[in-house]
Amino acid sequence: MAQVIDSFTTPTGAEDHAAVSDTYWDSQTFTALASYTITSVKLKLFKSAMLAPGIITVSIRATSSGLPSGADLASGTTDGDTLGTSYPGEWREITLTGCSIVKGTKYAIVVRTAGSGSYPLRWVGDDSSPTYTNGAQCWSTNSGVDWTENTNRDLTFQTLGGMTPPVDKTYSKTLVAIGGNEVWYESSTGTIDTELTDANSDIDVSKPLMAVEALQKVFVVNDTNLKIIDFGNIKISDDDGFTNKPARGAIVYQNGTDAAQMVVDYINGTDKVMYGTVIAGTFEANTAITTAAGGTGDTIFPSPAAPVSGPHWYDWTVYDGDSTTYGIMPSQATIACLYNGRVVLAGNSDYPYQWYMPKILNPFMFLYDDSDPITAIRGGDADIGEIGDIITALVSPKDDLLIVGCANSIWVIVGDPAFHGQLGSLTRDTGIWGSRAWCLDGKGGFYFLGEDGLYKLTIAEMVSVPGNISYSNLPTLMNDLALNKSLHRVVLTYDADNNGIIISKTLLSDGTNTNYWYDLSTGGFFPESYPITQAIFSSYKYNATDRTYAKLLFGCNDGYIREFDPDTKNDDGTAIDSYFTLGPIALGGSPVVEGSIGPMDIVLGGGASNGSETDSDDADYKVFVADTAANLIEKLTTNGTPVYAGTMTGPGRRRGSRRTQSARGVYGGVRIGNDTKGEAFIFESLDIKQKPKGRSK
Amino acid sequence: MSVYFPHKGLHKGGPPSAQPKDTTPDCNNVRPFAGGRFQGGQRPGLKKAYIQQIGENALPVVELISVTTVD
Repeated sequence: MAQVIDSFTTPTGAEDHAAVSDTYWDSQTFTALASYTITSVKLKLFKSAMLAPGIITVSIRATSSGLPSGADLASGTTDGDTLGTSYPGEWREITLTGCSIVKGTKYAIVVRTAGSGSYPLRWVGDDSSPTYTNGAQCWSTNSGVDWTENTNRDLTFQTLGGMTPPVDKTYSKTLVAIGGNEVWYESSTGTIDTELTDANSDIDVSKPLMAVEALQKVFVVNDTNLKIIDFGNIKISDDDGFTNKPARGAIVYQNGTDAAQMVVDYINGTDKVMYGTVIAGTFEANTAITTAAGGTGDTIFPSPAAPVSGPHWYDWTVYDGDSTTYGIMPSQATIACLYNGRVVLAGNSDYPYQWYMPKILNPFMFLYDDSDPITAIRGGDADIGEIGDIITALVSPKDDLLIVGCANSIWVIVGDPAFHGQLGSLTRDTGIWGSRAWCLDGKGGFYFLGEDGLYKLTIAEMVSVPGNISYSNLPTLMNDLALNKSLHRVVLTYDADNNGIIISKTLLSDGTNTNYWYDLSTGGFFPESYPITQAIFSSYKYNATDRTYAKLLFGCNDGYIREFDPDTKNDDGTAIDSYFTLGPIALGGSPVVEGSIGPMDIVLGGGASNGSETDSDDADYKVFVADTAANLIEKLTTNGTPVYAGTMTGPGRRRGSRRTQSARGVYGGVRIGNDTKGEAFIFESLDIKQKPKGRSK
Repeated sequence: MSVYFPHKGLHKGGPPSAQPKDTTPDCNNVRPFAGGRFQGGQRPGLKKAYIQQIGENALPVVELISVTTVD
């Protein structure tokens, strides 16, 4: 609903009005109090008793030097002949075509008539002591070609429009991918086609690499390569170097064409570069940057180059490279996480049990100061103590809780280590297999691959002791996986959409993979295999700004980023060999009694073709019998020659689909699956007859 | 007898003759949730989320992350 936003409605002097005709135009300027879309104006008008104004045109124009300027931005008309003829006139609303009004900008309401002669229209105003301070009357005697301002008169007006509430969006997200010693990022939503060329070959992916997001940056730890991808700051350099070095957080000024200010975030040890956030104006080349406004204060840069916007790639060092003032970073790290505003580091092979935390919200300060409650700190700096086991993973599931996974144990830091935090042992029975061998389910569940399988611990008010959740179903899981830290990468990924966890083991050398889907709804483990080119090396839940691209992403062996799609029936063009087995079924009801298996009926998913239910494609079946359960499992697993087999046609159940064959044995089982490219089966049920036949010989 | 999908998944924890109900001795590339219901079937397929390949040498994508910046 339109509302009055800008107005002058209360002339206080004696009777006053401005005269308007077809050539003698009048205008009232106003400076917008808000940003809005103007939809109409109201003007207080009356007409001459002698002349007919005819159609009155009212428009909005921009201004220049306080005078109407340019073409109409919006306009509307009203029939002036229907106005009264006496002062003080009437408020007449004129609907406009509409245009955007920007807060703080001066506009002009311009009025003219179709009728000619000596001023057929009168616009009520005030030329005694007008109280409107954001504009004034202007007039033109040549149909709006030239204008004159009258600062002693204001004409009555009201602008009406709708104000659009401010958008909630105040930030954007950008996906970053690292592979092949290269760093790439999204240039626009859904397109990750821009390489950060400065990073090319400045990392070494043959060594462990991990990235953490914080402070509009990505912190990359890659053994001795400790790097920053800085998306938030601008970079200003000066080959002449600093005349005076700014402190972190200082505001620096440039008195250039558009006086500029910047909060300094980081300077490196070259003495020629600084990074920061611009808070006013626009920096330019060759104008000195100083410590105070107006070109005063001490000089920072005497002759800077033009500013460069991000992303920037640079070495992660302490501020100014000054270890005396800002401490010493670890020389290497391969594990990192964000905890309480600190980018925590570990994985220093020289001190593998050590964890390092920079100062809160200052990743460039590593100097310990026991008088500072947010100081940088590392194990051994204070009472919190050291761990003494090799750190393999860092996880911060919530505020004030850091899980430190080690080779043989798991520890927790509760609270901030620099301010009454405590370090305690959670378990000495298992460690965490690797830096990515864990995931959080967003509901307080922390899952990790440990000594004897998949473990879960619950994170609520207190952290529970981890329990092995795979042992009862898969007691030999770890032996089956045959993990080797020198050969394999393990990634655990929580899939919120499908409520499960993907456990991925990938052979680093060629992408051979073994995977499990752990279904959180059923508690079941389901093996999966992917084409070697599509083996999982990394995963990330990307909560993109545009929800179309908010997906669970997987970094694959061939350099592509993929997703699981329920409507996709193959793996990027490769058929999926999918199957499950049913059995062993004791056909005679006892391990020593034979029975028969069959006839049978398989009902596949979907009702009528192309109905509301998802349709299954065909499914192949094979029926096996054996004298022992173990032998039957061997036959099911090796997928040997069945006693009978066939294909059930999907979707649903087709008339005449009942299979009348049967076979005799002590145990029976069925293998059902599909390995055809572009097909996927959905299984609803199997109806099968079993009948005792007599004691086994 | 009617048999449904072994939604409790792979089970190798007991004697072969006592395979627990709703489990399977062998399976691959199937999940209990398929076709919009808990009825079982082939897992979702993998497809490219972005058409671009990271780098020119078909090497693994070893890290994915996003960065949030103010507008």
